Amino acid sequence: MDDPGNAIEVRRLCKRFNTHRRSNSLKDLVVYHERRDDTRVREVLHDVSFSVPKGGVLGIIGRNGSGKSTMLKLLTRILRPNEGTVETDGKIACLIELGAGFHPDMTGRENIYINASIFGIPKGVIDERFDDIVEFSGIGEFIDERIRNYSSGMYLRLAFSVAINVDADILLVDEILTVGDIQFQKKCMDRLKAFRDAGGTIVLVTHNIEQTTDICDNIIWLDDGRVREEGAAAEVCAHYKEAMLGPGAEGT
Amino acid sequence: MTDSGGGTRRTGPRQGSVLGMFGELSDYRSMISNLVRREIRGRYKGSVLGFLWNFITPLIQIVVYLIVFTVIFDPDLDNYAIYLISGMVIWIWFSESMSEGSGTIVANADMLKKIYFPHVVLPLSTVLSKMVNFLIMVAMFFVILAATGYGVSVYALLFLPVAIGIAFVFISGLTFMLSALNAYLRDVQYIVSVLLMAWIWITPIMYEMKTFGNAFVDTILSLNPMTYFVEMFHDIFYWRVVPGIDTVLMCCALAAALLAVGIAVFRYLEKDFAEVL
Repeated sequence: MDDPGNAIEVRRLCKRFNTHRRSNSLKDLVVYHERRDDTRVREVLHDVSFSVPKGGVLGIIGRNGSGKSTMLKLLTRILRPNEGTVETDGKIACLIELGAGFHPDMTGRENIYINASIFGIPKGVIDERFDDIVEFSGIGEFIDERIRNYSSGMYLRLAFSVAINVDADILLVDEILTVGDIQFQKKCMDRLKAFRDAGGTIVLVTHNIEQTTDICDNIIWLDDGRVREEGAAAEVCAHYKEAMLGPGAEGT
Repeated sequence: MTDSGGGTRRTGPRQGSVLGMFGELSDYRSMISNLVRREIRGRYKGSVLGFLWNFITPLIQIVVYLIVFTVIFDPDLDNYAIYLISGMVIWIWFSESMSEGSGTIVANADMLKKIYFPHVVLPLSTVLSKMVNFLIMVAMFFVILAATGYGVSVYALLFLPVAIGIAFVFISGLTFMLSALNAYLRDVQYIVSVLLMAWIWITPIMYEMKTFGNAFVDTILSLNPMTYFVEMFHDIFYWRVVPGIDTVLMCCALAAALLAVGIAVFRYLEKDFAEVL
């Protein structure tokens, strides 16, 4: 870390994906071996640098395919950078793909334990947090039913509750505040704000501009894998809106 | 603040240390135990016999070999059943870890692409769950040893935990490697099951290890790493002696080598799991 006050420092980050046809079987490898030089490299992120201070909220905006989700996956370490470094200080929780590792044949209760264990939370801590998680999800008596029978809203609410209750220092949020009904959305937003006010750091990817300006301090606008603009939320959002919807721009 | 995965962490194109990898595993203890439980119990959920299926398949296998080799062929060995079972318990741990462990990264691709966790917990959980089955089978074997009056040697048994430890390291190394390779080449899983089918016959489980006078057969038997592990368990349960020092050293060397190679291969390949799966 260059600055100990930062929770996240990203320096000169590049991420490339190989888009060649994948050789997953022996036949492909033997038969098509010589044709594997048709490898095309697509650069998804190019020379991206930014930092987030502890307690700060950073929003990442940009059109579809601009590299926002890849950026989050690099922050969580699901993906590894080709160049540059990501430095993080503190425990990370991600609200990226909710419900990963959920088992439809197990009850809500069992799934809370399994899901939280994937985040690296010891059983004792889950025991303590269990009531909070159930309470926040609003699942109520359905907690002992198999989640196969849950509605999609209930499923996501449970997943969100686990993720937000893992006691992290840094929260990565991808496009999930559309979870549940309006009431639950407000609850999520309030929880994010409480998390921030308690000193937590948040990185948020969203297409919802109102939401962005509401909670974020700073915004990064990614365009084709590069940082197009970086700065105060209201300002960047205004430029982004203009570029996306204004005359002459490629619309969405 | 739980602060398990806390502290500053730097990720670049290069990976962290092997030591860091194992340090991190301790945070994921509950994930490992959940996966092991799921593997043992959840696997046969919904079937009438459930959990028992973990033992029915190996049991039938042992009974079939027993019938073939005592009724049809006439073994030179006294107490052939004891000899067969003491080799089979370790073989089953080994072969089931390999055949199921090799597919575990691919089978959990969905989770692996969505959440960060140390990938090695997946093959490790398979090996551990098969180890639980192994231990239960050993316990049943003790019942047989007591019931038949064959008995045990206490000195030999003192060595059992060490033997299990060495076998665990060996099997883990092999399973780590195979699970990672299978992510890139799906055929690995199928090659493994074919290989295992042949492998059991070149391992002295159903017959006694000796010099057969056929150069080809003798070479294969001595090159087969499983020969030494099976011999170690024969010594403990069948011959009722502390395993010979040369056998033990051979097993230790094989285990250390396989673990080193297994971890190196796994770490090299794991970097791109999220992209190739």
